[in-house]
Amino acid sequence: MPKIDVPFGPYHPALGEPEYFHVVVDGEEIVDVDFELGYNYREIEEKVLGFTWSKALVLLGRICGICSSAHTQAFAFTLEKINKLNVSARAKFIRTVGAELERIHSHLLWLGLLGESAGFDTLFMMAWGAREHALNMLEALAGKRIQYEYMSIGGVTRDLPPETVNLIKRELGELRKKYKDVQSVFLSNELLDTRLKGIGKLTKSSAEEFGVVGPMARGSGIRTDVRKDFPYSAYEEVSFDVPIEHGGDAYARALVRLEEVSQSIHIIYQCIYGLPKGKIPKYKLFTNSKIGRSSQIVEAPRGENFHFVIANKVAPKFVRIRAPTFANLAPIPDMMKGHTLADVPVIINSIDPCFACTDRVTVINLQNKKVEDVEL
Amino acid sequence: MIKKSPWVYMLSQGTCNGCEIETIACFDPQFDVERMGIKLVPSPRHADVVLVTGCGTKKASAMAKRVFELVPNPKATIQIGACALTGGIFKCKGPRIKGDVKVQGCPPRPSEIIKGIKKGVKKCSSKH
Repeated sequence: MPKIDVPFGPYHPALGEPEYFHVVVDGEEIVDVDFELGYNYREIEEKVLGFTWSKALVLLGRICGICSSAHTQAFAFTLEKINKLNVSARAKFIRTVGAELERIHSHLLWLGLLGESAGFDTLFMMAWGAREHALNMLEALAGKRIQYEYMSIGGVTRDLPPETVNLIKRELGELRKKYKDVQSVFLSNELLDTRLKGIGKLTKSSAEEFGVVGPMARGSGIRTDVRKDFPYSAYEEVSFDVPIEHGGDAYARALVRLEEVSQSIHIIYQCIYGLPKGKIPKYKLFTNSKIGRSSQIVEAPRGENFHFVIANKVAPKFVRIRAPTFANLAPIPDMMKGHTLADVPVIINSIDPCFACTDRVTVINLQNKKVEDVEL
Repeated sequence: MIKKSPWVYMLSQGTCNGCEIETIACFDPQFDVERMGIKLVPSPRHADVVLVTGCGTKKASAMAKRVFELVPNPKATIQIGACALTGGIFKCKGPRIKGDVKVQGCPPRPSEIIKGIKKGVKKCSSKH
C-alpha cells in the first residue's frame, strides 16, 4: 500500500497550541513521525536581557501559563544563590504550597484533556470541576487564578493570613472529596482501559536512553524526582512518596499523575498545619545583584525545569532555560510507530506536552529572512 | 449573524497558554457556558465566533491568518488577553488578527470571556 503523509497540526483540535506533527501512515498503521517546533517562540531569553530583575521575574512567569510558579521559583533561586540571600522559613512553606497547588491544577487539567482526547467527556467535566477548587486556593494565595505572581527574589510577595489558611483547609477538603470521585471513575472505566493500556509504550531502557524526566520517567519505572533528590524550599521538612509505575504506557503515566495529586494534597496539609508562626519579612524590591552565575533545577508538574543565569548588576546578562517537555518530546516517534492514527492524540496528550515551555529557539536565515527547520 | 447558541472556535497565535486555559475553563462545570448554548467546535468551518489569543509569533501568525479565513462570514471576532490586543509583555511584532470586541487581562477571568462572547454576538448581529 502506498504511504500517505498526514499533517497533524499546526492547528488541530487535539492540540491546544499551534504545533506541527508530520505523521506517515501505511494503511492505518503509523510508520514514521516527525515534528516541528517553534510556533510559540516568543524570544523570551533575548527580551529578558533588557529587563530589570523584578520585571524579568514577571516575564519568565509568562513562559508558561500552567507552570509559571516553577519558572519563577527556579529563577528566584538562582539569584538567591548568587547574592546569598536567606529565604525565611515561612516564605519557603508558602512557596511549597503554591508549587503543589500548581501541580494539582496542572495534573487535573491534563487528566481532563486526556479524557477528552480519548472520547470520554465526563472525565473532562469531573476533573475540571475539581480543578476549580485548586484555582480558588491559588486565587486566595496569590490574587490570581493563572499567572500568579506571588514569588519574589528573596521570598514571597504575599503572606498567608489565617483567613486564607482557613479557606485553603476548607477548599482542600472539598477538592479531596471530588478527587476521590475522579479517581474511581478513571480506575473503573472500561473505555479508558481500552484506549490507554498498551498505548505509547516506552520501556525503561529507552526511557533512560532518551533522558525523559518527570512523571513520564516515573511511569517507565525510573525513580527520579528533584524534590527528593535535590530538595529545595520546604520539601525536606515534609514527608511524601514518589509514585512509580512499571507499565511504561499511557495508562501507567496516568496512574503516576493521579497518585501525585494525592501526594500533593498530603504535602499541602502538612505545610498548612506546620506553617512557621510569625510574618514574612516586608517586601523589598530587588534592584541590584552581585555579578555571578548560578543554576537551579526545580520539579515542575511535567518534570525537572532547569534555569541558568549569568547576572550583571541591574539586569540579567544571559538566561538559559530547559523546560521538561523538551526532554519528553524526543521519544514521541518511537512511541507512535506501530499504532493507529486514532491513537495519536492520546499519545501526544499522555506526555502532557507544553509547547509554550518547549519553544526556546528558532533558526532564521538572515539572508532571505525566513524561518528554517532544523533536523533532529 | 446568529443571535442565539453561537459556536465558538479557539485560535491561538502563539501564547503562554494562560488565555487558552481560561477559555477552556469557561466550559467547565463552574462557569458552564454550554447552558447558554455556546459550544466549542473543533473545526473553523463550523464556527460563528472566533476567540483569538496570542501575541502573533513569526511562525504562527501567517498560519493563524489562513485558519481565520476559513471561518465563514458573518462572524464575530473576540480578542482575548493583553497579547492579542497589543502584543503584551512579549512585544511581538507579528501581524495580529483584529477583533470586534476586546477582552483585557493577562489572562482575563472566564467570566470576562463569557461577557466578551455575549457582547460580540450582540454587536455583530445588529451589524449584519
